[in-house]
Amino acid sequence: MFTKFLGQACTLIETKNERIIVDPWIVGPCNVNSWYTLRNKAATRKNIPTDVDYIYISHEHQDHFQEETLKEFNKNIPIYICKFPTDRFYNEILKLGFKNVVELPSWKPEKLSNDLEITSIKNPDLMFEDSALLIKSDQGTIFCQTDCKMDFNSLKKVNAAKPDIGFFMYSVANWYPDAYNYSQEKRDEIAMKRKVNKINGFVNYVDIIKPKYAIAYAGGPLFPHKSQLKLNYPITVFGCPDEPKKAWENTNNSKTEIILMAADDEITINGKHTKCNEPILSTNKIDAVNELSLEIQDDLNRRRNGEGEASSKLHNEIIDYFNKIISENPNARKHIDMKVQLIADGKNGGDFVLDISKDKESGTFVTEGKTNDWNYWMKIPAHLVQKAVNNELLWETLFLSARWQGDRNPDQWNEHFINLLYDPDPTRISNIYKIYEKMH
Amino acid sequence: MEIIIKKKDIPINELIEISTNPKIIIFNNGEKYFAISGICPHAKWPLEMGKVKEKTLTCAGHGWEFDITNGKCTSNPGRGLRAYKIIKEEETLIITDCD
Repeated sequence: MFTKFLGQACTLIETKNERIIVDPWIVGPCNVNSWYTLRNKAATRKNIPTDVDYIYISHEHQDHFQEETLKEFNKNIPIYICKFPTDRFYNEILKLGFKNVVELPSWKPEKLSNDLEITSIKNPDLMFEDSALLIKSDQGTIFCQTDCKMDFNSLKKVNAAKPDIGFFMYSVANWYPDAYNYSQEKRDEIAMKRKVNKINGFVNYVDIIKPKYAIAYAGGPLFPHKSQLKLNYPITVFGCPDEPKKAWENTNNSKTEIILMAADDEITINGKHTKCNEPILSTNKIDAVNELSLEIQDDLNRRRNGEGEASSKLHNEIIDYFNKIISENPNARKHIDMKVQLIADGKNGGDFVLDISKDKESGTFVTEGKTNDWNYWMKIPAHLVQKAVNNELLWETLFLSARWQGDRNPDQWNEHFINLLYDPDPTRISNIYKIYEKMH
Repeated sequence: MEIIIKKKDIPINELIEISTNPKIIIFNNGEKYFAISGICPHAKWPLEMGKVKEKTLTCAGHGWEFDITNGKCTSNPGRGLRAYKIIKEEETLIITDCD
């Protein structure tokens, strides 16, 4: 049994007879032509191992669920996902043409064959859907955290499964603080704190699960577009795998060995590591992204130029879209309780004020113009706003791209607003707040 | 609810679990004691695994932050912890529900 690491959160696990690939993002950018995997040279279609028996996808973020890579696979290959409260992710996979999508209840093992069993593990979050995966064969057990923020009890259950190898996330996948209008000093302070917290999380996950070998993955991406090169600045929330390895070694805990793996490297269930590439580390990341940037710049520009433009009807579409989702979700409104200044920047764009304050119960929730008493300020390219209000682009994907600017007053996270944009379906929102209000 | 604990059992600058049901942790910063519920509302990680810097308690799992003095969640407002009342006696502390 061995695992090939294919960058970001993608792993190919091979037993004696079968192969399962997890979270296949291998080629091209994701998150609106912004993210690339940590590779010295961009992968090509030849790097995609299409001869697999099964695919598992943890959640819908594009660095795990990427159309350009998935279109290379035969559509009859079964895709396994976690059974989430909504069927939105299930339906997104069907839209790509896959015919056999199987939802696995969390923590219910699924025997795929005599020699392969997988167990999907749902995250505990009320609002956002994600999952991890445990893979067992006669030869050993492998754990893939992917991006899943797990509950403590699930970690203990994974530990009880005695994994030989564990792949653990070590970096955030978020736009905070990079997209916000902070001073450099403030941004660096926030970025360092977040990175330290995340690396501490990596250390704690490994310490609780205690695999024989642990690999730091699902970390930060590279931003090779010339307009975003500054996001690769060394002080960043997006770390490199040498940083969690160093943090682990500082604990003097010798029960688990941390292996530094580059994309395309392999590891056997006994920990034999075959190196195929040089890993991108905190010491060589800037050089690597500069080289990658030169390599793919023309292609990336072509992709961005092909994104289209906002229609002349965007004004009305923005007003209709936000009026609908805000008016339909009074429970969310009560918790969001803020005013949002949205600037759709560029051709056919404009300025809009979204009134999502708890006292606003009827009438229009969206007006054109500017306000000084905003709590959240967003400046987004108009053509990307267009895709979001047309439901062709998830707001989260847009935010992850870091191709926008934000500001907050007060400067605090509002999970309710992000949750509304994540999926404004009134039934989903209503179900969430039934639970939320019991909890708090 | 009333929990009695000896002061000498609470070292300075350590998060100590003093009750499992309900789960409560206590922290002594050298000047004052603070008692709050001990499970992170995000993913139910035990908060005694976390770290305290000044008055911020950071959960060991996913970095959620709480004000140790009152239990309020500073990283995700509205998702706070229950804070408990502490009555100081000569050698012991009595932890009770807030009024």
